[in-house]
This record gives sequence, structure tokens and C-alpha cells, in this order.
Amino acid sequence: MLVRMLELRSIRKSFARRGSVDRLVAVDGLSLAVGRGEVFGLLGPNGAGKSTTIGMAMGLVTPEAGEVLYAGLGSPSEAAVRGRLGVAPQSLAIYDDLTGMENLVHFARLYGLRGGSLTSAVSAALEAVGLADRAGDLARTYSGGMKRRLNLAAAIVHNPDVVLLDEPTAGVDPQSRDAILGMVRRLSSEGVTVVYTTHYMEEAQRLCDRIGIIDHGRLLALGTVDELVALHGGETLVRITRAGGAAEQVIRTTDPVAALRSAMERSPPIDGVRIERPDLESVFLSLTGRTLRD
Amino acid sequence: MGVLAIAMNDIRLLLRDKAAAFFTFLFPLLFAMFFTFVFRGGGGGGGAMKVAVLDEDGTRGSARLVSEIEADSALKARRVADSLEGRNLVRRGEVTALIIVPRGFSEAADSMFTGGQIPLEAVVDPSRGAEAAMLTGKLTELAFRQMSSAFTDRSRMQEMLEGSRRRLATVAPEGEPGREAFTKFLDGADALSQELSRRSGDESTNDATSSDTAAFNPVNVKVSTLAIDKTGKPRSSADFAFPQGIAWGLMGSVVGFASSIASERRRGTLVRLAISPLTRGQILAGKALGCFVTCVLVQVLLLAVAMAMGSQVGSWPMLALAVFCAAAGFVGMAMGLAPFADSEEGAAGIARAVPMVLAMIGGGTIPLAFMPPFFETLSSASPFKWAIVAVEGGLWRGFTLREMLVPCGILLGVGAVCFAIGVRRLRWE
Ligand SMILES: Nc1ncnc2c1ncn2[C@@H]1O[C@H](COP(=O)(O)OP(=O)(O)OP(=O)(O)O)[C@@H](O)[C@H]1O
Ligand SMILES: [Mg+2]
Repeated sequence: MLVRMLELRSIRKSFARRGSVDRLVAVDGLSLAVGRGEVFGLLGPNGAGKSTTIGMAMGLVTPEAGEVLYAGLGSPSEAAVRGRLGVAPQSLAIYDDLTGMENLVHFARLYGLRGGSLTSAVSAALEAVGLADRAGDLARTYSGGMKRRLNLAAAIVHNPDVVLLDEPTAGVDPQSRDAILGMVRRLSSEGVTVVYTTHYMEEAQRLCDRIGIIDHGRLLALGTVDELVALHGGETLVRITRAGGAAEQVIRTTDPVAALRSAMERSPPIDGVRIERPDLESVFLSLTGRTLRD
Repeated sequence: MGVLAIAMNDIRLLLRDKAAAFFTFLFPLLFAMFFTFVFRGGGGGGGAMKVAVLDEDGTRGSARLVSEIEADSALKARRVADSLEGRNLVRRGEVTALIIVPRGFSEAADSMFTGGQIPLEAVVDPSRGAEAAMLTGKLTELAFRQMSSAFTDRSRMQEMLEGSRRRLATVAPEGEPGREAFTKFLDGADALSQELSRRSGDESTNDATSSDTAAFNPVNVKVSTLAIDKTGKPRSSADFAFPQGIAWGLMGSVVGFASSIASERRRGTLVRLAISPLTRGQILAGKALGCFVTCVLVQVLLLAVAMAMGSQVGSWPMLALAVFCAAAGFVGMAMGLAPFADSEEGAAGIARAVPMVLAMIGGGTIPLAFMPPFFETLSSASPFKWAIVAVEGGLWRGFTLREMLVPCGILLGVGAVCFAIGVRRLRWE
């Protein structure tokens, strides 16, 4: 059963718009709960309200309505609660004029680390993101992917209970991405709760225990990947081509095995088969009527 | 077409950046208006140099000069009872100079035609040499005006001529040709005076008279700077230059601090600080502490160099107090400026403009005496001015703790107000 770690209760945030009296509602009464040790994915297209939601979860943005609660800790508006959180903002937040090491030492100090535990925490974090060999170089000399990994290391250097990552894999190559995903999995195995935003659904599908799909600041669906697909993914497509060059046959079914079996009983003989199982993309499409990355 | 597009876009971006737009359009306007005020103020109704006046002579003549000084629009005079009181006012920087009408003033004035020089003394604040020159001119002019008015004041003229005749009698033996000539001259002057007073009704004391008579110089204004050492030996010029330098150094730290907040905001690290377990108050306290330490270091560095160049510290505790309060006041100011340095460009604009304005109204560039009264009032709130006063107070003005309270109190007060404004207005994202 889910042991709640983070709970968002009907949170709402809107912004004033230039030259308009109407406000832009970025997050619109969002509620969800994240379990302890869970990797929770917040999935949505650009402008869906992911960053604003994370911003409220990390105590940077004050909700206009509703509240954010960490079990046993309280609201992130309290400094002590923020001390248990690790945060990697979407836009890089590192000092270009400091080395990777100096950056992490500075951030670790903000969280109260001193002396030997600081030194070991910093080297552990550098190790975790694969920057140990570049630790002495100025951050301005890092590549984009390295900066992103340093940004991430700053979120975990103080061994937080909850890690909030806002698009940690944006703009990194497959190798860096694998390193980052591996790190998230390791955190999760150590019992750290991870909330993670992305609009890469393969990533969410691979990594997340549960996923919340949001658009226009509202939660559209919530569950494990399988649950979401079963509930919103619709039917599996079985595409069959037969000998003799007839047109492709497309069967929509919830039971592709049975559909294939009955198709094989008919002639002409089957030449090729493609089974398209619904995925998060289809879930999103069926929920919003548009694809995730448009 | 492309060229036009670039031009239009640049202008639009400039207008969007409030600080940049301000410094491009509004600031030069204010600047021009400021100078208009300054130059207009230089003539009539402008700011006045603060002076103390001591009448040691105690005669009708000296009283007349004192009231002329008091009436003069270029001077703002207050009477003092003795030299010590006057010197203390100069030392504390409350007045620019002490004017002394010395004993024997009237007597000398009365025997003016026989070569006696009218003595006047001025004890000037050593850090305000520029204004001393103006004071000499002013006093000469006032003394002249007295003399020229004497020509049309029959009784005064007679008094003066009588004095000159008596003096002539004592200095030159009868029958000497020079004496004969002078006696004739005095008679002539007598006749002239008679004639002038007959045609009275004229307001004869205009400036033309004084400039016509400026060819000979019967007024002797003896200007000395206030010696503050017990030994009375001359002070090092570093004493005056370095407190000014300190104020500029403080301004530098302030600008650095304001732009550091702007650049942390742009880099996103301000957000990271905001979500750390520190309260916003603690973050600002940390930033302020960094600025404070810089401010102290700047001052220590400059004072060390000043001492190497010959300055001697009057009072270490008072100097330490001054350094502390100046640093604290400027930290407050930095905090107050931070919200207005939205971008690093904005901070750069502030870096150029604010020190200039503050220095000007604080007496750093243009002597306050040349400014309209409005700016003098404004300068009383300028940390620039009070930092200089406080540091000078500890360095060579020999301030007591009580005298220190004014500049230090103002520095801390202005700092606290600015700090509060800055904290309330600061944007974190
Ligand atoms: N500071 C702000 N001022 C005004 N509008 C804002 C602000 N921050 C976010 N918004 C608006 O709120 C909405 C949600 O933005 P948000 O950054 O939360 O989206 P997101 O899901 O993180 O998108 P992305 O995937 O592009 O990062 C957007 O329409 C955005 O324009
Ligand atoms: Mg975002």
C-alpha cells in the first residue's frame, strides 16, 4: 500500500498576463499523492504546468489555493522542510565561475553539511553523476550535458528524503540520459522519493512507478503505466498483410492473440504481422486529442 | 527591411528594460534639470555657505559688517560668542568657516586712507579649500561695500577722515611734502563726501562701486585652515583625499552587491538559494554580510594607504565606529538598490548614475555652497556625505562619541530604511 510522502491538495496558481485582465491559470486545482520511495512522473506537454507544480512542491511558488504537505514534515514554506528536499530546477542553477566541486561544496553548506561529511557527500554526488574527473574545472567549461548533471548533483548532495527533478534529461545525449536515469533508479532503491517531470514518454514509461498526466494545469489521469494504458490506451492494433498484395488489414482489439489466431484461419496466407500495443502516447492522445510532442 | 527590423527591435527591447530606459531617457533629463538648478542657484537665492561669525572688535563698525555678513544671501551666518565655539563648529563640519572680525577692525577701517589695511580673519575647514577662495572674495566684497557706503554716509565719512588725519599727525612730521599732499587729499575726500551726501536720495551702494575700487586693496583677509592637532602642525593632505576615496570605494561595493543579485537571478542560482533551508531573511543577511565585509575591507585598505602617506589617526575607537557605521549604512543602500537592478545592464546603469548623483549632492564633486538649498537638504540624507564626515571625525576632526552620533545615526538610519525597502521589493525569480 502507498505510504504517502508528498501530497498536493487542490493547488492552484495563476499569472498576470501582459496587456490582459484575464489571468493565465498555470495550475488549476491539482491534487495528487506521491508514495514514499516511489518514482513519480509528471508528464505533460510544454506549458502544461509541470514546472509551476514542482515550484509549489519545492516551496518557491506559493499556491493561491490549496496546500502542499510532506508527511511528517509539513509545508515546504518552512525552511526545515526544504532542508529535506533536493531540487534540480529546469533552468540550470549553477555558478559558472566556480568549479564543479566548489559549486557542490557551496550548495552542501547551505544544507548544513560541514567537515568530513561534507567532503564525502560532495565526492559521492560527483561520482553519482559521473563528473568526478572534471570536478576541478570551472563549470563554464562544461558541456551542456555536464552542466545538467552538475545541476542534478546539487540536488542530491545533501542526501534528501525527496528529490524533485524538473526535466533533468532535457537536451542531453543518450549516454548522459542513461547516467541520469540510472541515478534516479539508485536513489529510489535507497528509499528516496523522486518526483520527475518530463515530456519524453519512453523515459517515463521506463522509469516511473506511477505517472500523472497533466495538461492545462489539470490532472487528466493517474496510475501505473499498465493501468493508464489499460484504461485510456484503447485497443491494440493488429496490422496484417497477406500474400498476393492485398491491402493491409487493420484489426482493433483488446485481445491481439485471439484476433491473430482467427485471422490465421482465413486465407490467403499471412505474409506479415505488426502488433501495435497502446502506450503512453496513445493514452495522451486519447485523453487530450493531441500528441504529446506537438 | 532587415535593417529596420533590427533597429525597431533594439528600441523595443530598450523600452522593455525599465532600468535601461530610465538611464537613457529620464536620467539625462533629470541630470540637465539638476545642473540648471545648480547654475541658477549660483546667482540669487541659491544655497549659502554656512559660516560662524565672531565679533571681537565690538564696535559700531564691526557690528555693521557682521550684520552685512548675516544679510548676505551667499552666506548663512550664525554668531558665536567666542573663538572656541566657532572652531568647534568648523571642526564638526557644521560650518565651513569661522569669520573673525578682529579687535582693531574699526580703528583700521577709520584710518583706511593712510594705508591701514582692514583686517579680517577666516578659519576654514581644511577639507573645504575650494570654498575658502570664494569666502575670501566674499569678505573683501563686503568690506568694500562698507567703505563705499561710508562715502555717502556723511557722519561715517567724517569719522573716518578724522581718524586718518589723527593717524597722519602721528606718523609724519609737519612740513613733510607727503603729509601736505595727504592732507590735501583728505580735504578733497571730505569735499567729495559732502557733495555726495548733498545729492542724497541715491542708493549708492551698488556693486559697480565695489568693483571700481577694487584696484587698490585695503582689505586684508587672513585665511587659515583649522589646525586640529594639539601640536598645531599641518595635516597631511591624505586626510582630506582618503575619506572621499573611501566613500567612492563604498559605492563600488554597493554596486557590486546590487549587480550580484541581478546576476544570481539571471543564472537561476537565486532560486536555488530560495529553496534551500535558509529563510529569505537569512539569504539576504548572508548577502548583506558579504557586502559589509567588502565595505569594511575597502575602508581598511584605504585607511592603511592614507596612513602610509602621512595620515595620523586621531582616535582609533571613533574611527572603528565610523568604519562600522559607514559599512552598515552602505549595505542598507545596496539592498535598497538591488530591486532596481533588474538586469545586469540595469545594475551597470545604477553603477554609473547613483554614485554620481550621491557624490554630487553629498558634496563629493560640487561644493555644497554652490547648490540650491533643496540639494543641501537632500545631501543631509546622503550616506556619501555622512560617511565622509564620520571617517573624518575619527581620523582628524577629533569627534567625541556624542559628536559621532549624528553621522553614525544617520548612516544607520538611512541604511535601515533602504534595507527595509529593498527586502520588500526584491524579486526572487
Ligand atoms: N512566471 C510566470 N509568469 C507568467 N506566466 C508563467 C510563469 N511561469 C509559468 N507561466 C505560464 O504558466 C503555464 C505553465 O508553465 P510551466 O512552466 O509550469 O509549464 P511546463 O509544463 O513546465 O512546460 P515545459 O514543458 O515547457 O517546461 C505556461 O502557460 C506559462 O506560460
Ligand atoms: Mg517546465
